Amino acid sequence: MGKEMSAVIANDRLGLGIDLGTANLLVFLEKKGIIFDEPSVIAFDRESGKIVAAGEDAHKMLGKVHSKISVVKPLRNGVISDMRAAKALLSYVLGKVENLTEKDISKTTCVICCPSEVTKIERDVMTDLATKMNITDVFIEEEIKSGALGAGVDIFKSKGVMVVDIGGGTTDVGVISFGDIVLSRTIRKAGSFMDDEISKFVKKTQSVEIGELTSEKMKIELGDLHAEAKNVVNRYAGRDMVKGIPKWVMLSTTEVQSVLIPVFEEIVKLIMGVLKDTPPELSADIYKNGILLTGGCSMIRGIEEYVQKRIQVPVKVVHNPLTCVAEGTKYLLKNRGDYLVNPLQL
Amino acid sequence: MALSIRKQEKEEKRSVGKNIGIDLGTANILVYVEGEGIITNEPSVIAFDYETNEVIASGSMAANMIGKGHHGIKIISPLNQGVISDIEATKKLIEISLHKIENINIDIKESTLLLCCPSEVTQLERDSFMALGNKLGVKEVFIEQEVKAGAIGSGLDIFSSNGSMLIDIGGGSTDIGVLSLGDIVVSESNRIAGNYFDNEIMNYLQYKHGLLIGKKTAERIKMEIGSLRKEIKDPRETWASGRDVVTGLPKKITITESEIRDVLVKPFESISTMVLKVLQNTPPELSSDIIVNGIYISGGGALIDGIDEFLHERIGMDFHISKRPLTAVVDGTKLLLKNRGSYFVKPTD
Repeated sequence: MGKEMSAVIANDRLGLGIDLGTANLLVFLEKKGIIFDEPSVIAFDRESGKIVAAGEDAHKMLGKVHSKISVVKPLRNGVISDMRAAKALLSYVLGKVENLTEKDISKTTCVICCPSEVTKIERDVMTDLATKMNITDVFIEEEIKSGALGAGVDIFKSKGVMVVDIGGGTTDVGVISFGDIVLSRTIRKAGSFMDDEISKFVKKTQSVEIGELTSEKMKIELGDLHAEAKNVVNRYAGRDMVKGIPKWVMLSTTEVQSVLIPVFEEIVKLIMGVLKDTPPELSADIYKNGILLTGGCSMIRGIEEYVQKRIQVPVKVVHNPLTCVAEGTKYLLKNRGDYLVNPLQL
Repeated sequence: MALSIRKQEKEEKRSVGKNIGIDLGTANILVYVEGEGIITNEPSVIAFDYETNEVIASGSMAANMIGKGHHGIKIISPLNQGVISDIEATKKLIEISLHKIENINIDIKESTLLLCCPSEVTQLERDSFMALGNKLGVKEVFIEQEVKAGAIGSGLDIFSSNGSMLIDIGGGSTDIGVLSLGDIVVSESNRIAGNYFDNEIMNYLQYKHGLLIGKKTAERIKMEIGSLRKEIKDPRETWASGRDVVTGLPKKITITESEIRDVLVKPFESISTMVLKVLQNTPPELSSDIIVNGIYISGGGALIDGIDEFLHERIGMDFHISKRPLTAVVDGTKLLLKNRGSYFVKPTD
């Protein structure tokens, strides 16, 4: 067991952990920590193909560009949809790291995290991405596993842990025990889906068209699942669909809640489905230890209370919902995802 | 004679290449030279002698001759409705402008030239701007849209992802553009602008008062009492003199502000329709920036009293008039010359 590990260390290979999410890209580099934590968006110049901006800067451009720039989100629903853009984004991120030559990059051991229920082809695309960057040593791991590790949970014990990762493109529910996933389910409804639903709602009720950035802002500012949430009304701007001129929209917490609840209802259904199929011994563990929530959408207010009320199992949001997956890669790089090796004890 | 004096001076001045920005408007020509500032701000009119084809006057001197010349003088407005109609005359006009600087002699062949054009010109019209640059012997010519330059000159930060909107009402064309990240996202242009308003005033006086007036008088009336206010508090009035259509005799009448207001409302209606059209084609994310930032107005048309109130009533956004509406475009060329119009490079850095 130690052979492979020691080989990794002896080669002095740098470990590279990539959480390639639909909404955010996080890159963990050994000895440096998390070197990039920004939206996975990249903007190209249409004519020359040069990168204009990436990450946060490119995210601000969404829906605002002129015909000379194309803004691309390389991932859709948790999987790579634009290979060229994904590669460009990753090269851009790694290019920014000081003292990291291309040769160093090709020598790294790379772990890429993906949702648990993606097809073989979609997984291969992730490997391809690393190969395209000239990284030969690459392996794919599930986001929930990495997320649990990153949140500081020892998944290598004979103790069942349930992780619910509500990210940008996918919601992933899994039960982990003895260092690997026992069962898991994924639906492609998460943060971006909620944004779309909010924008559809505004379109339907107020006939105002809003952009991606605005609907995301609405979700972050007004999203609240508390049964008796304080009603806050905020003002946003969009384009009137009838007249075509800019118009203010008033949106309240209650309205956003009414949009979000059906989505969370589906997530609850998914959790219940997984719980139903969980072996009884693990069910007992989960009942005792509770469910862990990770991912950006677990930052919506009142989510713990809401899920707990529906499932009657204690629910806890991890302390670092946005970065836990990337932090977890630190451990996965040590044991290469081998469930027999407990990296927490290395 | 004047030319021979210039020739003498030429030898004394040192010859250098400069960055030159030109706002070649139908009504006014503005020339910016790097390090010298705006060196010309005059009507784009030039007067030639019919026989010798020598330049008699240019700029405001020539503009004063409009409608007053005799058959020996040919007075030309080399631009028509925003585009070049007489390329030789335009070339002369620019050359004269550049000769106005003392101390240094600009070697136009070594200079970089930026010309501003309306946002929706045809390829042919664009080519004519290029041809003008080539005629002047300039190695590097590039063309930018007036809205872009105008927005920069009005102090808008068009290089950020915060969208902004500008209406530039010039002499020959009205340009409306939504800008973000250093370039135009949506734009619209039509030829309802300063000269059109003058024509409307001329037509009105002819039909209502039976008075034929010249272009210059019409322009003066517009500038003195032009208004778009719904309720005119203390009405201004001015005189107009010309030729009576019926008797053929000179005649002088008094015109009131509300009369001119009624004349101007119609063309401004079509400008506000155009603003609506642009807003309709604006992506929603930029619409939300515009509602926060408001819409800026530049160009000579921005000086018409109550224009912001008028547009606000029709459209409902906030309208701001740019600080120096007449020089906004040429001020903008200053920055565009630095980044050569590339949206990547923020010239202020």
